[in-house]
Amino acid sequence: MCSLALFPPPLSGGQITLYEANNELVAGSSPDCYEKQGAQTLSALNFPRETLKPHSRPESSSKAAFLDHKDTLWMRSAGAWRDAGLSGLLDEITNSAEEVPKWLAVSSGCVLALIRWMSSFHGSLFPHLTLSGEEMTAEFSQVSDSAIRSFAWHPHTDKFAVALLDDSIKIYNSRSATAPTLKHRLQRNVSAMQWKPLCASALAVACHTCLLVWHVDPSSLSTRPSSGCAQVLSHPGHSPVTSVAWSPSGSLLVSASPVDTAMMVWDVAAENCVPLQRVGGGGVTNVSWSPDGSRLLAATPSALFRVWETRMWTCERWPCLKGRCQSACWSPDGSRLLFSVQGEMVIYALTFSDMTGGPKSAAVVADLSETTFSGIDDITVGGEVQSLAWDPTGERLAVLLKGSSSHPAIIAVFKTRSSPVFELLPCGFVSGEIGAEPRLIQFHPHFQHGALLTVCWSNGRISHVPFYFVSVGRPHTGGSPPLPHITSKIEDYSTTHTLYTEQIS
Amino acid sequence: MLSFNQDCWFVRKVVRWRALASIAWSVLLLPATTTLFVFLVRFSLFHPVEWISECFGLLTAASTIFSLILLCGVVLVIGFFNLEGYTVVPSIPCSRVALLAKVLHPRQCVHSLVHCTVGMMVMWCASVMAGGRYQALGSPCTRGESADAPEVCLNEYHLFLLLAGAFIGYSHSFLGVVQNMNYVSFQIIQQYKYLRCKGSLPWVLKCSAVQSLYAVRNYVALYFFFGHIPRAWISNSLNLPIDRVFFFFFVFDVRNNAISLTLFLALFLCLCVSVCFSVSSAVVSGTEDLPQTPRPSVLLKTPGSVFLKSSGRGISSPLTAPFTPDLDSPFSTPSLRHLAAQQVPQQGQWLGSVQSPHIIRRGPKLWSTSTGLLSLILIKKTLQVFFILFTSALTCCAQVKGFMAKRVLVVYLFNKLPEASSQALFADSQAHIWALEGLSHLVAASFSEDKYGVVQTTLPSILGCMLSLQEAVDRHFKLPHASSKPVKTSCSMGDSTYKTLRFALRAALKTSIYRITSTFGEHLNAVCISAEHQKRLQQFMEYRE
Repeated sequence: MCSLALFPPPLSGGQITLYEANNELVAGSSPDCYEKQGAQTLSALNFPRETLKPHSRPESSSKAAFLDHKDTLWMRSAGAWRDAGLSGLLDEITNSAEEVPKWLAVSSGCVLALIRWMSSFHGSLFPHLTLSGEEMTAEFSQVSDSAIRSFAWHPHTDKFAVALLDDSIKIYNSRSATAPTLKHRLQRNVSAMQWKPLCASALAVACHTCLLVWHVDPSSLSTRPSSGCAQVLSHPGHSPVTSVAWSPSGSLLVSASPVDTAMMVWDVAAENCVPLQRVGGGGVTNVSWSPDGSRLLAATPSALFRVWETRMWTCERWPCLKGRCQSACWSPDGSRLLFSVQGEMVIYALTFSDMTGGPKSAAVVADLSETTFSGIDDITVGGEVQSLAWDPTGERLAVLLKGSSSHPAIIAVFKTRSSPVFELLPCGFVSGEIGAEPRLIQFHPHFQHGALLTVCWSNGRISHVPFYFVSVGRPHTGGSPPLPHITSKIEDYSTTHTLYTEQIS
Repeated sequence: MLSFNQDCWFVRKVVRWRALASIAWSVLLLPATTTLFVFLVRFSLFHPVEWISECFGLLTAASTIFSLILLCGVVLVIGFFNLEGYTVVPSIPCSRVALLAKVLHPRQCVHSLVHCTVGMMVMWCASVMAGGRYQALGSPCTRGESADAPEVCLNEYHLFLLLAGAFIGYSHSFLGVVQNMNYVSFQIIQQYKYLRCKGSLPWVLKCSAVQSLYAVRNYVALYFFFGHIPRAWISNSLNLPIDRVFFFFFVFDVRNNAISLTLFLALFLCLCVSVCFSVSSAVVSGTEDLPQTPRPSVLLKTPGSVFLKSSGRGISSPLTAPFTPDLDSPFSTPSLRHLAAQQVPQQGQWLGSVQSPHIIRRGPKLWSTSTGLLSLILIKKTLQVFFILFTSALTCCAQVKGFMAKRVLVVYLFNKLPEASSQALFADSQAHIWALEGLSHLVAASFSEDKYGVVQTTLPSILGCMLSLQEAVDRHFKLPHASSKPVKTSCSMGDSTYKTLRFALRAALKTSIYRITSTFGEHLNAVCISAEHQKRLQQFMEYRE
């Protein structure tokens, strides 16, 4: 079992991790290293929070902003029914007691009290149901407090989508200068995005009330695709949506909401869905498809997660001891699942195989408890896991550790080895500028020379950290690329205009 | 329609057994639903003991038992009668006159008649079980001027219910035609039958409740305006005088309305449960044999025949022989062949088969050949003959047509319905979607596994076919109405997946081409295909489509 004490000490004094080569992480001292890289890359993106205005629309109706005028009771009741359902209707009737018969007002008041009592009882069983939609999105999805709400690499090409604080989505492509901005009336509180595999254009976006599937024509020169390019997928009771996952074959889309006990399997072309309901858990927060498409992880807000097999769509329950499943990732061959549990500072592994009928219990593979490195000044790292990311070659595992009041959040990178036994080996810590904490991490899906980790920082910067290594298992198409040698690297990569040319001068 | 004399594995192995099982289930559930119905009809809040004892007395009465047996027979009859109608390829009328012809077709008339009769019988059973003033057609009444002896009058409550049964039966049959209710779509994921039935039950209940409420509304309006006609007719023919107070009571008697509502609900549930069970079971099993990943033993035959044959090259090579087993492939649907033929007329192999849409309509349909992976039968011959006669008559008499074209009603009837022709063209494309997926998986797998180059030698024709299909589909979507999404109906019993099959085909086609290009990568540059296709393929390789 690997622990943080085996790691090389983290950088101090404002140094920035730039890349990994020859098995060690190389740091740059200058704080404007990103700027230098930015001169060559298409986008050393920076989204300062001040330039973006968050949406100011309140979640409930904007009734309070308008002058009061007298509708008939029927009109108001119909409006309340439309806005807030049964409880809104009862509330309206109870509040306008002088206009309705006394028995109606009294009985609706009683029913309302009963409903509230029942919902509070239900809420005490599942405390997350008392949260508002935005709090729920912040709690259960990876959405951060920085200007960048979500980030998604395209699975096949050098293109990514960034969801910003003002509910717009920008798409950056290494091959074109236009960066389309996607805006839609229903695109609020974006919590997750994913590009459709085996497709150039489709992007699924999990929003507050619905699921949007954008079809962004890559050859179009338009910077502002119309909202007609988006399909709206919604189902009553299925909001807020906090997670989406395309099947690796690109045929199905799964969405999850912490309020809905059913997760939805969508047929995007027909815009209809099949609910997969299971009692228990109180909802589904996070769905993640294994890369071979045979299994699907569904985490719930309770201390329980499920692993569905996708042939006949049956599931096995995995109760956790301590808290809910915070984050999880699949190995590239889909046989191993790494996950972390809220309240515990370890990483668990589950190994699936077709022969033995599945694992019996999860094994602890890494210990992330707080460790103090003594140097010039003592640095403490460690804590609970915020998110996990495994690179597509299966050789690097990035773990985003939550910060606390005493120490900031940090990314720990492990080397992974699956033969002869599965184990994690220390690689190093990735640190950014002073005062910037990592918020979102994602690996580039097809980096040719190893792995490329994209990090979104709390100050709104997006940076890319390459890990140069020769992968064992990866089949190289189009001839094997030359091993990036450290000395020849600069002329190798600085001339190509790709998104990930991160070099120091 | 599905006919049983054709040797079709889907009908033999799946539909027949599932339908029998569903009929058995609905017969088995009938006592339970009857009991529920009796309890609901006799419900009285303030006399619970009386209510329950009365209900148990009623349940053991001879009339109830007889009604139950009759209901069993009715469910069996309607089950077997509907069994013939299920199809996986809907017939879509392209104009209003075609729709009219479909509704007035003799087969459809028989269908409606049977449903009317069955509805009346169910309502008769229900009114007998409900008892009280609904029990019989004749009822004793005291006329105003002769109060001395009770006379037998026409019991309008009973008549009202009987007519309601007939109306609901007819509207069910009518809506079945209009909404293609006999169409069964294939589910996107497989689930065990129990879970699937459990999942779809609330939806079915909700839909049938909503539909029966609509039917009640329509029926009440109809009876209000035209109810006097059957009333007068029956009272004349049976020589029963009419009791005049009925309608007053009908409008204001809450209990009566409530009972009629429950009756409607019960009837509709009876009808719908049988429908839903057979439908869902057919659907479940329909996907059972679908391989998630291509199983070579099943699929090896199919892919070559879809695309290779249509491309008109590459067949002569001996290596391709295993992939082009029979010329009469189940996947060479005329409509898509027609679609692609517009693109590549120079590849003359098809010209013989592509003459006019009407002739194509008569050709073998997608599911009709027995050799296929998924051969299901759908031949609506009479309708087609009617249609062909109609259209040929029109073309013969062009002057008549020109004259008629100036008449508003004719124009209204003969105008094409928007989207309908597009839906009709893609109505049977589910098999093509599977074929595309299977073929692309095979080709992708051949990259690492095809040691003898069997697939690789035919790769140019596979790619050429896919790309020309892609071009044809792209061109089709430029037509007006083709790319507009159909309006979603919130609660209808019919399955409307067929309306969006063209989008599904487009997405599946793109995914298939991308699967091949992403697997082969730069190697595809070495494949010799035409320059135009090469250009298009390059777009795919750069992820710009």
